[in-house]
Amino acid sequence: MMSRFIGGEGLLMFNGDWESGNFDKNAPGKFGFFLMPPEAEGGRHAAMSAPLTYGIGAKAVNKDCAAFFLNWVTTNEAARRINVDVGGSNPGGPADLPIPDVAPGTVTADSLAAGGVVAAENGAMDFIANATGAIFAAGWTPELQKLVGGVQTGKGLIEAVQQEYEKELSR
Amino acid sequence: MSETNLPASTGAASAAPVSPRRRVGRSAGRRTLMTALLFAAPAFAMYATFVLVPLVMSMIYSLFRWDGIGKWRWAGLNNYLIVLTDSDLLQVIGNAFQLVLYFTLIPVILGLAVAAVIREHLGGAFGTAARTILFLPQVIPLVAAGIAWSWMFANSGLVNQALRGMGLDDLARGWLGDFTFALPAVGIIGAWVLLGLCTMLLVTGITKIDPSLYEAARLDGAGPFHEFFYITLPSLRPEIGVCVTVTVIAALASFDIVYIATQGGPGIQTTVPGLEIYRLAFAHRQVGLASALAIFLMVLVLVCVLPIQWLTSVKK
Repeated sequence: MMSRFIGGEGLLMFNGDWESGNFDKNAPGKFGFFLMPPEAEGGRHAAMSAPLTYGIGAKAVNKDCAAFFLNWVTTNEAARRINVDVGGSNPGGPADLPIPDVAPGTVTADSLAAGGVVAAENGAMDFIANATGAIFAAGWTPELQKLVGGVQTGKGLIEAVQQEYEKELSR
Repeated sequence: MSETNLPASTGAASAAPVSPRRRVGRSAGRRTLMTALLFAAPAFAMYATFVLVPLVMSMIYSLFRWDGIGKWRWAGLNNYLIVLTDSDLLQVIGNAFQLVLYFTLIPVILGLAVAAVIREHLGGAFGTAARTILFLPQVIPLVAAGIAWSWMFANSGLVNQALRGMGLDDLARGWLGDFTFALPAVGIIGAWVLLGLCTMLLVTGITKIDPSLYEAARLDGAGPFHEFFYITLPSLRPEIGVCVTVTVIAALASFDIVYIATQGGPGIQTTVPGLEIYRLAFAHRQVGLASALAIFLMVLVLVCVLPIQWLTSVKK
């Protein structure tokens, strides 16, 4: 999908900021990034966004090493710089840490700025793929397909997913 | 004959001594039975391992709430109640019945037509070529067929190219992503796969029909349509029965084509029981409900197939 899009076979693509570095490296200056426009002009922006969600097994042999690495990767200035330069995505970690500088006009710069907008407008929701496999397969996936296909509304989607969630819990 | 030549016994029949020949006969019969059982044992062991045991296990699972790892909790018939009342599951079952229309009607009707047309050229190069071409889909893996047809039904695929080439641009669409046409598109894939099997069965059946019947009909002034409806069709009853049975089972128990072509979407427009059973067991971790749906599907297949067998069997 990415190679076809970079090759010019598409006008728009839904994607996340983890591809920003890829665009900047392989097609510099050819692409940009913008948030999905709000439903009404001047409204709040919304996007899926999630903190770095990693766990360390209680029986892991080197728990401390793993914890040190996860802490380092999100808080260390050099590590955050690598995160942004290589992946192009928001480095995560504590909200009060500065975002590393990037070259203006790049996709990475666009997507990092967009992340700031979503955070300021309190429009972030968790990734739907972080739902349980069942809710994702029976709730989010078919309802999103209905939404894109024009046979479901945004409100109806949320209600249907909630209903699926309650159904899962009841079984 | 031999027994009448032996001296008659004087005691009660039950107490009569068993003649050596009868003893030998019984012993031989027992040996034959043992040999037969030994020959059947490996096949039965495989059948029991891969069919009977899973069947019984599924029946047991269907009575419990179980996530596949944790504790079993007794559910009684509740899983079956869910299968019969959940609107999504009912739609999934309805989808399978809609697929029957495509998987069965199209291959059987087209197979009959093709068989009737190539009947007189079976031995020639045309007959051989026709049979080979028509049987090809049957030897192609379903996964490959699903992928190939996904490309054909894509926005820029062959189907839409043909429509646009004919000036029917308005009809072009992403067929497998369309809420109205996705299920018929999947049905067409199944019909294409099963057409070869039905044609082969029906062509084989047609070769068994006595040619003198056709000669006699022609002498009586029958045309091709009369020959088809009064000779070919009634004579092919058992083969039609096999075709309908196999294709109905293929539709109700379909999985591969749907999984590859649409994964059950858009929405749940093309989700079939086979796919839902897989999802319930491995995504939802509801092994009990998945098993109940599987058992219900088995009963459904039997309810559909047994009358077909009864109706198409030839009474001797």
